[in-house]
Amino acid sequence: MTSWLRRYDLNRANAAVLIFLWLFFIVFMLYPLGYVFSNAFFTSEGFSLVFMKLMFSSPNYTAILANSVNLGLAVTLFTTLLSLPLAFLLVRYNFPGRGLLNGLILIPMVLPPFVGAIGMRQLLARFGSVNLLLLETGVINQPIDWLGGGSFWSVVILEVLHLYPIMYLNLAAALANVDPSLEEAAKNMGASGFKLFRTVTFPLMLPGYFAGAVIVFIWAFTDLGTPLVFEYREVIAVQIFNMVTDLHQNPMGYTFVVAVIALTLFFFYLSKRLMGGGRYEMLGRGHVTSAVRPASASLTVIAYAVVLGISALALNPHLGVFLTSVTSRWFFSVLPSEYTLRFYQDVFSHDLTLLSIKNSLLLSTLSTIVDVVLGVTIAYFLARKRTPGRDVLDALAMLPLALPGLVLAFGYVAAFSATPLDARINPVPLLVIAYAVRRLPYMVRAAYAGFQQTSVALEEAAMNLGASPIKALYQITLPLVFANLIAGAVLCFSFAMLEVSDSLILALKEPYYPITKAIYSLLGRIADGPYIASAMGMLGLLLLAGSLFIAGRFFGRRMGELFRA
Amino acid sequence: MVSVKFASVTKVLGQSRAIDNLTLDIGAGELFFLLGPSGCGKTTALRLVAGFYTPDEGQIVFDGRDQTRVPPHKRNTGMVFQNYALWPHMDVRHNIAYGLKMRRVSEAEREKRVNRALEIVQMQAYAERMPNQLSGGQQQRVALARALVIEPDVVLLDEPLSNLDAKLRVEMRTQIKDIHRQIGRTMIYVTHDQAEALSMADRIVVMRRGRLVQVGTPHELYTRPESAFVAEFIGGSNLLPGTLEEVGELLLVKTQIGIVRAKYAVKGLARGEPVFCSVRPESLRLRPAEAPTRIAPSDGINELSGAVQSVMYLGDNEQYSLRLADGVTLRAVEYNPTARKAGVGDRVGLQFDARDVVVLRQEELGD
Repeated sequence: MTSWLRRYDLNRANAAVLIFLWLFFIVFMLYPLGYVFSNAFFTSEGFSLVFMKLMFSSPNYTAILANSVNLGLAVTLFTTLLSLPLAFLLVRYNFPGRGLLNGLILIPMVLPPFVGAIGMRQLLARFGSVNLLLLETGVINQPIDWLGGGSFWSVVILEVLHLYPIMYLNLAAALANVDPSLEEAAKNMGASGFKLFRTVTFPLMLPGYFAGAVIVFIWAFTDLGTPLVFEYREVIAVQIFNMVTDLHQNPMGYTFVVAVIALTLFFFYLSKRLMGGGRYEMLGRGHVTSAVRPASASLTVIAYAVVLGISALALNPHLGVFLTSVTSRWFFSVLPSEYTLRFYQDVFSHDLTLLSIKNSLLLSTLSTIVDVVLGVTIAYFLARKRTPGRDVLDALAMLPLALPGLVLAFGYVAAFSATPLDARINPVPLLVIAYAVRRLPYMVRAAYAGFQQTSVALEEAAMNLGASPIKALYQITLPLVFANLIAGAVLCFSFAMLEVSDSLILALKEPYYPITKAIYSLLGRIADGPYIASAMGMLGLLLLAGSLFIAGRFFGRRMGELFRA
Repeated sequence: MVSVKFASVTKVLGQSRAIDNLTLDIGAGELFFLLGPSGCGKTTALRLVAGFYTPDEGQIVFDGRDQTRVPPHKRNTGMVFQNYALWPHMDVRHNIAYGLKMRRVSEAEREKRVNRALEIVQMQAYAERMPNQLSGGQQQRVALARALVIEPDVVLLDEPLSNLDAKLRVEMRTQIKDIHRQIGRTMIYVTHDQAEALSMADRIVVMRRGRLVQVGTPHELYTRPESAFVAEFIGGSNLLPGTLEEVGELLLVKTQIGIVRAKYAVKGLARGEPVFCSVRPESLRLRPAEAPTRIAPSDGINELSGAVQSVMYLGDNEQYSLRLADGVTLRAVEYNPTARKAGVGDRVGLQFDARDVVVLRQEELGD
């Protein structure tokens, strides 16, 4: 045992923590997944590939798979194109109001796209604001069917507008971490402009870029809420959702899940391969000169124009939701004809809505704490220790990105029924764990990137001077990666607040409804449902904007540096 | 003061044996150098002392106390890292005070010792600066103060001067040596710079491919290298390949350019064995080609002649590259070169004493 530990440079405490991590993953991921897998491959007659064959032989099913992959690729491409200029302008140049613009970019994250979809539907409907505006100004004389036919592009647009901040955060962090002297070396060799970017800057940004690109891809690839609200059913997530809620446990659902996991693992593999396994650790970051330069007046104007322009576009769904939430009459007019705050009163007089806000706050806080503790621990082992089964641990920690929440949630409901964790009795523990597991990869990635970019020599210096490994971690490395951890924690918290699929499936009883489930159940109510739902959405939005703002305050006026190593 | 012992230590990193069965005794209070080309395992050896690596085989012993399984933070070593590893989120004072805090030294005492350490490295004026506001040399001093302030049993220095400019490097050599004399602690110093090692060390171990090649004082290593590798790595040497003809008062080696007489040889050489004759460039004396040979070869003096291929003037010395009859090239150095002895293309005579020649076993060179 001791020789085994020595081989991996582990002590007993390390080993105990590792064992705890493994147990956690086995119980809360492998077991429910195994449950899902066994249903995909086992019929009453034993092992069978019949469902797999069915999936790949049916043109209908292969088309659905292709739709989902295309959705993921399109969203990744467009978020990249949108975020790159933003990252360059805001990381490399200093100008008045930079922090403010940085905050503005993050705002679209605070609205679940499926809520945004309600607003967009309102704006883009056959006789919605956009068509009416165009008709009134005489640009068109027939209403355009924006959402009809293949609503593929409306799903893409909504997801891009929701996800580009994530891409931006990753690109900005990656760019901020590129050692300026490496770029200077390239300039010295005669590179400049796009050539410099293509040959040096971007390759150095690649690890950060792929971290963002994979998250965005998987998100779009497995998003359930947006296609559901746009009634774009030909994607894998909606198919799975339908099949899972199909209480008969149609095995095709499980088969799709298996396909999703396989595809996701493939894309992960691809991104790791493309990173080249190169070492991008930058030594001596402590005394690297800053690459931030003051922006000229014209560049400042350009920066404002770009950020404000993109934000204006991205905030359209929010505008739609906002208008829906304050309208009492809105038929055949560009803007509502009568306004009211009645629905906001309803939110606070309604037991369901009020309780759901409390529930969400509690659940998200707890799950964020779980994420921070687990995420930092896992990232530390991955970045700093040669643990046995390191790659498996890495894969397990990242796997939730590939798991549509509904799969995990359904696995939880099924696998833990008739145990003390039964979601039918009290879903709080499973909801907390589901939220935490789902967002754990963000935390692990955020912390891991920080660890990688902080030279291990700094920690060794502390140990050499008498700090125990745990002290060295707390006093040296954690403060240095603190910005990364805060960024990760804020992401975890806001995503937990907006978690859709776990909430829909796990919160089975009204007293435990989180915000999203309350909104979803309100949507189904014909009369005032969508209005109260929109008001709820607005409140959730304000809440999250508030928490981001508080996090920013906590760091003084350097909100932009929150999301950097 | 603590002695440090490597007892048959082996450390495997990845696929290679970074340290291969190393046995080494470092005396208490010694300024001991680990010297070798990059990848020779010297840094690994240092990290084994610090405890960042645990040996796969063998023991690390401080003063008879086995440290092999002692974690880094309980070893009481003070390390100066190659890139200094100053914590960018703490100012100079906090960086230096850190180890004392870990040792629960009272605040008053801490203050006193930090100030003393700052004084030793002459950085009193910079106590409140952040690391990124310091120059490389200043960072280096802070790193040194941080390691010294805890009064470590062993001070470990990992190429501490490699990031400094040449002038500062030479200055810091003297300072570190002074500090060593002042505090009298065991210091283990890793470098690939032989000049640094020769000028500072009490003793040096030369390492190659994870193994110990030779241990000794700078003088011993320079004048009595026991292998062609050491002769070449420390100071540089002319290595003439040949066959050992005769062993006696003087050794006779048959080379391409004739018989070379040598006074010294490594132990256990047999007649007929392929050998190198190692001659330091400064042992070669340039003479006018036409000057008659006045000394009989039997006096233990070797006589050759060749043509000057290139001359490099370096102020305090002049370096000649000489081409001999059979395409053999020799390097020669003239110190205090007041007047040039020969120009490119000139034919010159060469003399060197048998007592400046060491006969070594032939071996493959390089890292």
